[in-house]
Amino acid sequence: MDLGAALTIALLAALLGQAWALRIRLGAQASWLVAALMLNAMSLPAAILLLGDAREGLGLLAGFGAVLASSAAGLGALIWLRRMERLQKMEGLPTDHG
Amino acid sequence: MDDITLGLALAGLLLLIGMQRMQVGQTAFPWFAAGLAVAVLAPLTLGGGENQLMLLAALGLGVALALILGLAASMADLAARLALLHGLTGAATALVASLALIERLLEPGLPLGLACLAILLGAFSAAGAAVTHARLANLLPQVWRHISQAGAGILLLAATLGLGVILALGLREGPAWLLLFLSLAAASGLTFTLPLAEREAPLAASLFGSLSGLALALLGTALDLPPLVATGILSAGLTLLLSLHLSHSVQLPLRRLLWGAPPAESEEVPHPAHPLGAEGVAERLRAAREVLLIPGFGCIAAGACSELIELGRHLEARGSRVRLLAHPLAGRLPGQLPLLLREAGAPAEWLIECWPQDADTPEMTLTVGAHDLINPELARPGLPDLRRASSQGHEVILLMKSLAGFSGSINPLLAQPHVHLWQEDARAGLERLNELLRQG
Repeated sequence: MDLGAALTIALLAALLGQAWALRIRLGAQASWLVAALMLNAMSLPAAILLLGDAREGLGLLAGFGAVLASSAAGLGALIWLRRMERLQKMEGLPTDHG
Repeated sequence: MDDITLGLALAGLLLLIGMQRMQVGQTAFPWFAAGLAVAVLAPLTLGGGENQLMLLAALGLGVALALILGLAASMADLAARLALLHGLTGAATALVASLALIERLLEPGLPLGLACLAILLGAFSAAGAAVTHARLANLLPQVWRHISQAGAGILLLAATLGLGVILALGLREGPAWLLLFLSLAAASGLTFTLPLAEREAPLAASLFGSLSGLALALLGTALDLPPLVATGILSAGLTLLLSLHLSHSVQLPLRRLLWGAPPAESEEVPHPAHPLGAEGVAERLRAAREVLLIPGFGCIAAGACSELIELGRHLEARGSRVRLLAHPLAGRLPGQLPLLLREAGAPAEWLIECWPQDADTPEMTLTVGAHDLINPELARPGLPDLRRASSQGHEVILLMKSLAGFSGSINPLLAQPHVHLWQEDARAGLERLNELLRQG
């Protein structure tokens, strides 16, 4: 990948992250940390792609571990997010609004 | 742009929409679920390959593990689970980059160098997050601190980087060198994390999430997958800023994580002016018309939230007005305590997130394992001024296990008039108190 393109994407993503982070209430940080985990779980598609074509024994082992770990992290984060959102939507708890 | 990159960009876009909906207080779960589904289906259907059966087996095991990690825990375990999940994402990124090295998919030079850096950051954060998880889950009570820890960690990290450069230039290759590199990176993570205590672990876990995000972005650049660069940097930036915010809020500088905590200075513990037992507390609570309950970190650590709700119900049944201050900084993670209290069944009308600055405290305040939270020296916003409450003649009872708290600092409230110390484990103390109130 062209390094210039990668840096441009990185810069835009960092700016978006900063814009969001500045508006997050202290009381909502836990939910956002879980949401960031979902983003990190994007290693899953890369793991699937590489495991699909792996030929070496050690490569297959690494790919298997990567798919297992990233799918567990991604879905695990999604479950926690659902649980937290359900509790936040209950009457009386402040939402992340504002 | 090929079909797979387009599919991954769609997955990333769905995740971003989910985050934007979180920002405005709308339901985000369906968008995150759709994003994850596309992230799985796009490479699975468009990527092809010969190892489909193995892929499905790994995915099946991953789903089973996710169900255990996501469902077989209460909201009290959130910080520990979050650390573990951050560790898994770090490990996954390191393993994908290792796979690229093993299969010789990358050219020596920049692509291989970026993959090596992704392995280093991923393995470092995976090992570190595993330690913070063990610490938060009370599996590792012993804190290993040594004066040489930071120096040893830096030497280990420098050796790992040196080996990474050798691998990136293609001077050495093969499984043995890769395993050595992975082991050194993981050992560096362990060296920096083992000296951290339970109080520092949530912040460290959050920082490991940031490193995992950075590793993902490097991997995306090496493998020519731009959506991974965007999501990785977004996650890294967001988590880093949230960590800095948290570090500032809890007055725990990030450098303390790097260089280890200084040994606690032995402060003189003020002799508590008015010690109380469960019977004395029950007697005072029976007479109070209005009670403010302030749970803290110690309440969560002792698993005493259900007992606290039960206490509130006893008091309400007696005609007292009950309020429950669920301050954002009271949990292991900001915002954890309100969720935990709702899960434990706290009625919505009891809950307050921040105490109004100019409001008077009720005639009776009971704090539970909140030694550091209510310390007036730390002057945290959103908390009542209990020193002023005491000077106005309002009674304050501090239920705490240790006079030094998690931070090791002394709470000057202990020497105030009308402030009573009830020294007891939060859960055991509240169970006894509930028993006494049940009896009449």
